[in-house]
Amino acid sequence: MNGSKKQFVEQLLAADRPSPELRRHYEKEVHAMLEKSIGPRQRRLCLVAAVLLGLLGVYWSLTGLGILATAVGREDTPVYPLPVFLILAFCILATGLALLPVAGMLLRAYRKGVFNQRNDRGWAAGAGVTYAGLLGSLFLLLCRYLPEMLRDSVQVVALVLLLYAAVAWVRHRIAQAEMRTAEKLLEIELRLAEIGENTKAGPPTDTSSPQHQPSA
Amino acid sequence: MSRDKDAVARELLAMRCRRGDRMALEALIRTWERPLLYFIRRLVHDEADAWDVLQKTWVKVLSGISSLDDPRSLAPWLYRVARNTAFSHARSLELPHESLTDYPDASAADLVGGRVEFEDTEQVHRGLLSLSLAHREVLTLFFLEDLSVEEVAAILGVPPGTVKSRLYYAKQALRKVIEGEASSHEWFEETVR
Repeated sequence: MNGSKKQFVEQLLAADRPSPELRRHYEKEVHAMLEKSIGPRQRRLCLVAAVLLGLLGVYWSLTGLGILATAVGREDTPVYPLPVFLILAFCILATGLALLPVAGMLLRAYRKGVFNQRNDRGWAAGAGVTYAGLLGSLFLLLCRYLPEMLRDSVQVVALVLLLYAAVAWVRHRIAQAEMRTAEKLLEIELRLAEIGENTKAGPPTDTSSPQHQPSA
Repeated sequence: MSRDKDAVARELLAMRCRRGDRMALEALIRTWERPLLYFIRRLVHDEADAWDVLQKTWVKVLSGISSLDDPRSLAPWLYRVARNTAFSHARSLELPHESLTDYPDASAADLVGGRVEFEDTEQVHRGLLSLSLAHREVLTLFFLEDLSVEEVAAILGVPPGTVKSRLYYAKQALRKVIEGEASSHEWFEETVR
């Protein structure tokens, strides 16, 4: 867009004079839209869910840690071999830890009264994929200690979980890398365009040169 | 050939918005709210409705920008979302809306140089109000942005030939309105004297 077109557009936009009151109302709405506001009932629900999930997360994490602690330095139990105990403990610990960020997001939504859709969804998706991957790995480790009749089914579930997590992670990384590269290229292009414009405009006049010094 | 600095800056902004950068989203809203509001106001009669449509447009833009495949098509995409939102808003309120009648094809040469003939922005602004909806929307896009015929066609959801003919007849109609306004001014001046 050249200079005269820009000026024309500016004048045309200036000819449209919106009401300040409607503008203020719109700005308030847009601010709320960037972080979706939630009502008092939803806030209470967020608090209840956060407390429940938080307690469950802490309980499972502690249980998992407790099992791990008791299993350390012990021989196989009469019922199950030691690795089964350890894997089950890790499963419980992973589930507990995955619940904690979700509880944290709900608590944040309750405290601030807003739900940051983009970031919170991103965090929840990340926690979900990590959890799926971790659970898949643990199930796979567990398989060799399971009875013959259960082994195949658990193996299939573990592979599905791992495949899902791997595909989601790779897709996310590729998309991020592509975006970062494109962004960097655009930044370079923008810088070049700025340099090009400055060069076209000519060198700045040096006001500190002796010719520009005021006479005494 | 190097591209225009503004075009690159817009593309970069679109990329950052796709990544979910909060500051970029705010910058996007700041940059585009005036031209979009102007465009929407040519489609919706009531100002409060226009602000409402603009807000709904941002809701759709924020939820859909991550799926914008080509950041270069940010401007046409924004105008398309705004237009669709304005029409669905009018439909939801059961507001009477004008028909988008078509006109015979005009030559592509008519597209260039149109703006040069319209220099008084106040006259253009007032003149736009007197035009039909089809003329108003195509001329507003023509005045506000440097969009290609194909891009305008994508915004309006019509073939490029229709865009050319609409633009041709819209310019003629606007010229008539402006000339009519000027002659009535002259008559008024003479009468007052």
